[in-house]
Amino acid sequence: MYQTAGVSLEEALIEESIMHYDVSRRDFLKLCGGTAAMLGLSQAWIPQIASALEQAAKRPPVIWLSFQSCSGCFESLAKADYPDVATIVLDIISLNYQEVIMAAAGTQSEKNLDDTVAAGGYITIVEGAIATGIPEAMMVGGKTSEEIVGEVTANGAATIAVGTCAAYGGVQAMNPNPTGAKGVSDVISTPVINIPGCPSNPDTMVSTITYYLLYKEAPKLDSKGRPKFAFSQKVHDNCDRRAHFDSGEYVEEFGGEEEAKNYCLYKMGCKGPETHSPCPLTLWNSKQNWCIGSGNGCIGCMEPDFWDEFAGFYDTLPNVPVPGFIGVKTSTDYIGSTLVTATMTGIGIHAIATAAKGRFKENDDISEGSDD
Amino acid sequence: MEDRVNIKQRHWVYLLLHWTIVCVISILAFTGLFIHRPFFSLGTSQDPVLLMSWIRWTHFICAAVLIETVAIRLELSFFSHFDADWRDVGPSRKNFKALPEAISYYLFARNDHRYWRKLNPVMNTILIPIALLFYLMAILTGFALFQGTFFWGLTTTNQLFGWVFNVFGGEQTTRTWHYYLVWVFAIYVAFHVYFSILRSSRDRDNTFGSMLTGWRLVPRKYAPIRGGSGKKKRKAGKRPGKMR
Repeated sequence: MYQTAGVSLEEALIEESIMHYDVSRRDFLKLCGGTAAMLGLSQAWIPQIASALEQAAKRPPVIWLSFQSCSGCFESLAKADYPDVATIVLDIISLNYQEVIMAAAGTQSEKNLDDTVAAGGYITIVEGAIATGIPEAMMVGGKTSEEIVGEVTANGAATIAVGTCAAYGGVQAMNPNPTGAKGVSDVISTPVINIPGCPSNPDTMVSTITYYLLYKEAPKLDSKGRPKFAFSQKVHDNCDRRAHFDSGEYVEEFGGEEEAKNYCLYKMGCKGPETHSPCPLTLWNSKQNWCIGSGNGCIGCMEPDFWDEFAGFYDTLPNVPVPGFIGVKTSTDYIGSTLVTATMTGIGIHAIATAAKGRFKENDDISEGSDD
Repeated sequence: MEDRVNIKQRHWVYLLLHWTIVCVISILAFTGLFIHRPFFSLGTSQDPVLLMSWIRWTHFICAAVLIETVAIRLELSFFSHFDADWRDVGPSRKNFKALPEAISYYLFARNDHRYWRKLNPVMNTILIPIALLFYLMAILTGFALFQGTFFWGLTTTNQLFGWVFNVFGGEQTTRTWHYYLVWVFAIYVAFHVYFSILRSSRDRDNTFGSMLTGWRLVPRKYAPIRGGSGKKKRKAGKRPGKMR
């Protein structure tokens, strides 16, 4: 199935692959329909999407680089939806290098990589953060992650960063970020399509790759490098519990009666109002459920710096560092109420001192010389 | 006690604008705290009241009123025909020079103080800039978080104020800064009210009451007369007819 296994399907048409993997024409068109909806195209585009996928006789080679990551994003793609879109996509594209699933090892796998890079015209998919602070923390074949990603993306047609790690640094970039983990777009100068998420959503990945096959160019991106068709709306705006938010009906505690009624998780620290993601529309695990559906608030895994900026995940507003105390974080409420208490105490003391000084009594302490 | 004269020092428009701002920011603080952490609910699950929607609606309407009011106040302080008071309000070199003296009086380092015809140096150099910064922060972060459309859909705030998120380091951090404003407001009100009470009780010039009536009991030698105000103005005799 894969190039590295030595069985070349280079010339195989996608239709044959579909037959091979026992995916019915109906299922295939369903995928095309789903992709059209995701890309914001009308139903009239389905035949063209199907044709673009079918006619991709020379499948674009793909190099999948894994760096500081948990491989969860590839798992997310590989264990994708029914019909088996991952299988289709893996056969639409020609996955020449993928450390998790390739059969080749050692020099053979490195040769595959070098050959593909030399040939050019490939799509680079990067999973995982780049270690810039301690380059030795992430090395493959004697090269650091920064070197590899620089060499590989330089000759490629497009670069896609899947997962929040590759897009923005991810959990290993959490303060104090010992390995200097950075997103791909921070270390290379060529354009990068970010598909963040922990893991990234398989539907978004499939749609982005399909978009590239259809138009031979990157989709329109937002200010954070994410495809606009998927990341232009907030979780909050499409959430199926939004009506409870508007009605002021909130889960007060986990295990409470409000939770059983599927009320809004805003007070439990849901970060849906700050997170741009298609989660409520695409759902997860073969469209079975998603985080909020399972009763946990959104933690905003599709946003840059969510690991620092959104923590603690169960507070409405995250805790903030206290100036002057390194490593100490406290809630904004605590900071605010402490300052107000200190102010009131100070004013009280000043008022007592002023009274003790006799300044509240009738006096004549206005000195000569006015203000103008 | 020296000779005093009751003068009309504050124009009713400025009093109206001041109290409008007070009311509007109080409503904004209350609704903002509710949006931050909803602390009560109305209706039942069978017959829910769209509480959060209405609270947010109120917050946005009051924000619009606040922006209007602040804009009118700033405009009038420069271009009004009845009291363009930009020379007397806000930091100036004269006020900065007098600031150490004023602060040392408040900190009991000296026992006498000068009479300040309008606002004293502490108000002018510390509280007024904080208030202006407050409005700037509130308006910028508020518009950035609002993310709606205005002017009948002609403008979306995403396009106009998206850069604010980059300045503050993300939407969540912007939200945190926006939330700090309520505490800034609380502390500001505490200082502001305390200082005005302190001044009215100390100088016996009805400063506190003048915020409702506009009339202030000023020592005669500092009272403005027709043709100017204060000693210097009286000699120079400039700006005839101006209410100072």
